[in-house]
Amino acid sequence: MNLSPTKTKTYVKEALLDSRLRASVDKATQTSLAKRNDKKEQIPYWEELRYKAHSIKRDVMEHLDTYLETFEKNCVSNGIHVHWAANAKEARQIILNIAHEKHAKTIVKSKSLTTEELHLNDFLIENDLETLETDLGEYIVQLLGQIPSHLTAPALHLNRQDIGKVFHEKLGIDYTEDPNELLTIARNTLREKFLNADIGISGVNFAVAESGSVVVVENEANARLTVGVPKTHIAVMGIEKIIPNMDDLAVFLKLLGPSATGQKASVYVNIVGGPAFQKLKEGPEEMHIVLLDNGRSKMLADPELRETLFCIRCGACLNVCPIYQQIGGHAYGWVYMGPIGITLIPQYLGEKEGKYSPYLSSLCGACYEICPVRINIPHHLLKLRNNVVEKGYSMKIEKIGMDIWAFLARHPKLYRFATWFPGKFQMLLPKGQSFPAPGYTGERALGKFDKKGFRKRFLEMKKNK
Amino acid sequence: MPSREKILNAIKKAVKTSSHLPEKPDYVEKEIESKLTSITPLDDKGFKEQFEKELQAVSGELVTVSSEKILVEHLYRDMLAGNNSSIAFMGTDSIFSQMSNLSDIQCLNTVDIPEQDRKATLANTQASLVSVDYAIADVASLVVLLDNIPSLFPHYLPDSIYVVVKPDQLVANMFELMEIIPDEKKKNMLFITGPSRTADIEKILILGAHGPRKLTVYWLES
Repeated sequence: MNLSPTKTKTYVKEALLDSRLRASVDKATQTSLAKRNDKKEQIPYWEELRYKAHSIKRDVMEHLDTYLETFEKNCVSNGIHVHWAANAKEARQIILNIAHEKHAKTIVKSKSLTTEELHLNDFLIENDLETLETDLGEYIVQLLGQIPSHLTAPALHLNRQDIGKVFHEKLGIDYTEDPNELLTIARNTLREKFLNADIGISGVNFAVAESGSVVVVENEANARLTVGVPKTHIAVMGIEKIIPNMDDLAVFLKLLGPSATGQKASVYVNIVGGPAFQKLKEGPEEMHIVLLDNGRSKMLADPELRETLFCIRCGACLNVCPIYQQIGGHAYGWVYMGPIGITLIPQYLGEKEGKYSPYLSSLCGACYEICPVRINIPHHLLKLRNNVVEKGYSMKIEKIGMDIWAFLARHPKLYRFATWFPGKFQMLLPKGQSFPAPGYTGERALGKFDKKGFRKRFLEMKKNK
Repeated sequence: MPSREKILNAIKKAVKTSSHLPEKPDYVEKEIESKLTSITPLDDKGFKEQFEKELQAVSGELVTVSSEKILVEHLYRDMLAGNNSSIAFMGTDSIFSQMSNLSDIQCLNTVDIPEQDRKATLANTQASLVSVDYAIADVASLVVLLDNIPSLFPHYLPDSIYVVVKPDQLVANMFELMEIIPDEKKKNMLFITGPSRTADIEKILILGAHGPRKLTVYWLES
């Protein structure tokens, strides 16, 4: 699935016309929100925890170099091989080299947005490695050749009929749309793969500097099987995933479950500090961690925008966003979507490629209110919009409009005429028609202008007060 | 320049600029402590009730037993009711000995299974009875320290997991848990909260995704 944020306007139009997609997204986001709110209500210190999590992340980002060095040192003493990757290409090559060294044929993967960022699956498959996503939602979107449409619910845009159809077509089984049967089919297919895979690749939710452990949080047990069964485990993480210690982990786990999936606690929290074979004589004999920069150190340089690196990828901001609720995840054109995604796209890909992204927001502030680590997303979107304009990538029509407004604002008489004129002129239009506004009136009518104009009405209001 | 140095140098340069971000209010730590205390049960009975309620909320079941003998009787009946004919034991040796006398259930002690056969054997075993190190009352999580066991497969490969929890293993919450576990043992842990599950199809909750479909806790009072 080749998506690009430069085509986001086309994707949005298509999504808005897709009533099936909108129904699926609406149902899923509303269900998630209700569950999240219910669990949050059961934690009376929720708001204080959000402050605390923000404060921990702030400290981490301000001393990231020190924490990373500590993490690396402790990982090495735990018997873990640590690799540093400046960009996606380098990370892919590191993983491929490990696979070749191990003479691997089959790789099982648990859900990882960082590996989506690397387009890792396609790369490994191109290099003749059978690479299978094992989270049910990820498995479904991989069968369809798509990318996830939500940070925590990859197949949220699909209904059971879509899934039944893809299982029938790709796995050669009789069509069924029964969710239990569909899960059983996936479980049986993947269980065999888990038991025989050479390598397990996981993402990382948190990396604990003090202990040299990575933490993988999940519900399906697919990550447990990924990190616990194959002979080699590779964990891929962005450098921002560091937290100082286990006490801090408790804070983030309290926030993550309700925010991500509406659970007080996720079913499995896998805390992995070294190859399991060292202790258990089972599972991984070797463990590798790939520390990925890929633009993050650049994001860190901005004293405000570095806050976007605090994200724990819970997806709560997507569920509450009135824009995401209407268009789903693919319309954003990249692996990160929703409110946090549109702060990341221009920072990762540059303002030219991500010029539309910061505008996919109503700036209502719901994302800031729900964010478990208090990322002020609307504030950052304003700055990112400003960056797009300053670099000269704003839409021409917007620039012309603002130039006209600036000219009128400097000439009060003309401004007065300009606010009076549309109200009078619209009477000449055929009944029921409004002024044409490119990009807006194609699908809807523009409201009627006030006949008196703003200035006259304002003066009247002032007089009558 | 190697990527490690390149990345670290870029970070060191970036963090020279201090953040323009809000500070944490002073009251936060005190408020967390006081609100946490206000919802923490006052006695052992309260902790057990909280744990049981939370376990039920995550589709787990709690069975209180006053002795290992009663546990074995219940487990036997439950195995037969669920048409399960094989069970692996991990860290529950005395119960294994008692169950082994029952002829219609195949009982395996995990430590007796050759290491190279363990994965395949456990994947084909229907149930397991395992021990854990701690249980967390306010979220019904079961905590396993990898340092304390010879195998983790029984905790997630079979379909039905039975877990023995003793009252003195219960802690109030995750904050308390992190305080009492020695640092070295915290490096490798597994938290289990209910049977595995997914809601990836239309947000419909289905138990038993890639791991166990059923989780039963035996609350062993003796």
